[in-house]
Amino acid sequence: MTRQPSVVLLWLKGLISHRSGRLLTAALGVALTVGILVSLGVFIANSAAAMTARATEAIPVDWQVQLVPGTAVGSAVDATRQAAPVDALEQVGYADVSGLTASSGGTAQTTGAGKAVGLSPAYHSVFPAEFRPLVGSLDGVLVAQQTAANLHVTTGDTVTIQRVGLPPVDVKVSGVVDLPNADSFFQAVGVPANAAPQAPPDNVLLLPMDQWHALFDPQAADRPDTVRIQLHVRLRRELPADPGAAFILVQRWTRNLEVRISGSGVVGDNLAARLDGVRSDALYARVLLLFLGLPGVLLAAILTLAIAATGADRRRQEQALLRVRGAGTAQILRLAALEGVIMGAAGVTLGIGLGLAAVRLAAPRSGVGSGPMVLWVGGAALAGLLLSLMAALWPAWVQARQTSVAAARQAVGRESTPLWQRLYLDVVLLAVAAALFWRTAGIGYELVLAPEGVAQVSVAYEAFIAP
Amino acid sequence: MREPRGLSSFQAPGCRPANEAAPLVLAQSLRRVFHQGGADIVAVSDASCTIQPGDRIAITGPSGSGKSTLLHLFAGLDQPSAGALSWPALGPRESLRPTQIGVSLQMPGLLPSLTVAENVALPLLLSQAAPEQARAAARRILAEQDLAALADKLPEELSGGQAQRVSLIRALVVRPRLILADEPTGQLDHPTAQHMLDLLLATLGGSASALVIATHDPSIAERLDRVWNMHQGALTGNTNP
Repeated sequence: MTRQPSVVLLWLKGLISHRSGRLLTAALGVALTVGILVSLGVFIANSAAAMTARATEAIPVDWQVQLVPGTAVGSAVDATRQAAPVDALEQVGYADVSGLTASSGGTAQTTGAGKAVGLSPAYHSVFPAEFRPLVGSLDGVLVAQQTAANLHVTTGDTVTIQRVGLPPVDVKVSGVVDLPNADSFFQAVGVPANAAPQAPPDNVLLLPMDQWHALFDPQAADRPDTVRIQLHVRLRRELPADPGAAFILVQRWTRNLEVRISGSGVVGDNLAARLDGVRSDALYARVLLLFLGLPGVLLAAILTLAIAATGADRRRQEQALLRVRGAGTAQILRLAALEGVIMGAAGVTLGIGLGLAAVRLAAPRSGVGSGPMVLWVGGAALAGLLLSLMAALWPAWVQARQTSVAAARQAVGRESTPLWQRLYLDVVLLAVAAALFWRTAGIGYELVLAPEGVAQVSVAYEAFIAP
Repeated sequence: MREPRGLSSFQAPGCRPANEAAPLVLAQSLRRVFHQGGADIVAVSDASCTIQPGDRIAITGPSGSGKSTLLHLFAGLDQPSAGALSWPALGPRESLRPTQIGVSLQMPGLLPSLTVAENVALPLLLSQAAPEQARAAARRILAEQDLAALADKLPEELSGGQAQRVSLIRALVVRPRLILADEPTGQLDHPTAQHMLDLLLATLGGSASALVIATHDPSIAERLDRVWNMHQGALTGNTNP
């Protein structure tokens, strides 16, 4: 079959020169299907990426690696940097104190047990979400807002720290801060996931790391159970857009670190914990979008097949004429496939453009180009091509299976009325559709119904039928 | 009207079987029944005949007598319900068209998306001719028949008579060994019909190619060597010389 391309080229020229209108009509149907699939996919991928981004940007510290007393901090830092792409890493010291005392206005205020935290000078800029400065400077000794209220102290006042097993020491307050994420900052690292949450301490003093070491290294030597060192880590945001995939990746990094520092520390994985919550929400959102969008895709696909079917008689006649001239089944299927490919290529190109334009119009800030989006667009293109190939090839294949050319020629224009026409199925379905839309419009397109005074909410499931 | 000229020779590759002396078509007790609306319609009944190389045969009979069905069977476009049909000199059914048998149907059957020249070139392309050679041959043949002006027109731009002439030329372009023409002059006025037959006969000349024409027109039938008659599916005449 060395000369086969000449027939194909002849057919191609004929289609493009004299049947471009018909091809364009069918291509528009394919474009509709592809466009809906692309916009649906980009919305799904975008919403997942947005959920991941929003969830991770709100985390003040991704990992809190608590070291066992006596562990070499340097080796733990190295292990952390090798286990995952680390963006920033700071040491934090936690020391238990028996109490804090301050004198003002001739009276002395004393608190119960609390925490003295040691911070490196860069900590405030690396993890800014942990602190909100209220009064004074961030350099020097800081007092948590609640503690300042308990002790009646402000900047310039002196606070006495009651160390465990050691004489008390005085420090001068430089500022007062709020700790908006105290729950995670003071979380008990390494406890089982289902353990009851631990309340953060009421009395907190924040000291520069050098000063903290000077005051509490002796306490660590005497009572190592009262002093802890943590590594606070922010990971580079090289995460997949999908929260589920991001969760798995972060967990893998965590497991890697846990193996590297086995016996020397435990990892509090705030990032994975947040992603774990978001991934189920993302899945729910995806199912909802698919549930609402897929009927539209199916309708568009049926429309495409219906548009393609309008030329079925003409195509059948042309194929019968080709068979009269001696074209074999394979040749005819090849020519039909050619029409399908042209139809598909035009439809896919147009559909991708329409879909992306719709996304830009509906959600101007959506990003395009991430992996899942490329997959969706590629999948939609493949679906469009398969659809157009099916629309062109299926009738040709059915006709090629007929016993004779004469039968194929005679079949043209002699078909009986289809069953659906005799049953007026189209009219019945249109009437049902109109009734459903009227009913859905009647409840204002509300999917979740929460009538006033009724405790229970309900879902208007019939609203899903209308689309 | 100009004197008819034969078509210039174009030989499609590989279109001549070895067995030149054998009959082109051998039919024994052919029967073709169509099932329509619960009833059986017998289009061809117990037809036996032989078509030899060089035959010039007219099949006459009223409308609905089974002429077209019989030609479809000869062309391998349809299959008999009963009986035996073979093409001893032409080979198996799958290899009959376009090189061994040229068919011109009652309706011209030109492909609407191809130009006249492309329609004429199509059988050559389907029989593995080189594209340039096929295109040149098609244009040359159209020019020989004073149809060069139509070469780039679409079938929808032709009159019925022009389309019928193009259809006939398309059937002849590969110089088949058997030409089956179903009412080739049905849409033509008398002088044009005679000219068309002149064209056919001039093209064949004294060649071994056989010609079978189904026609209502006695003036066409009387110019051929043998006349077969069909009546209600039955074939009569000198069908087995």
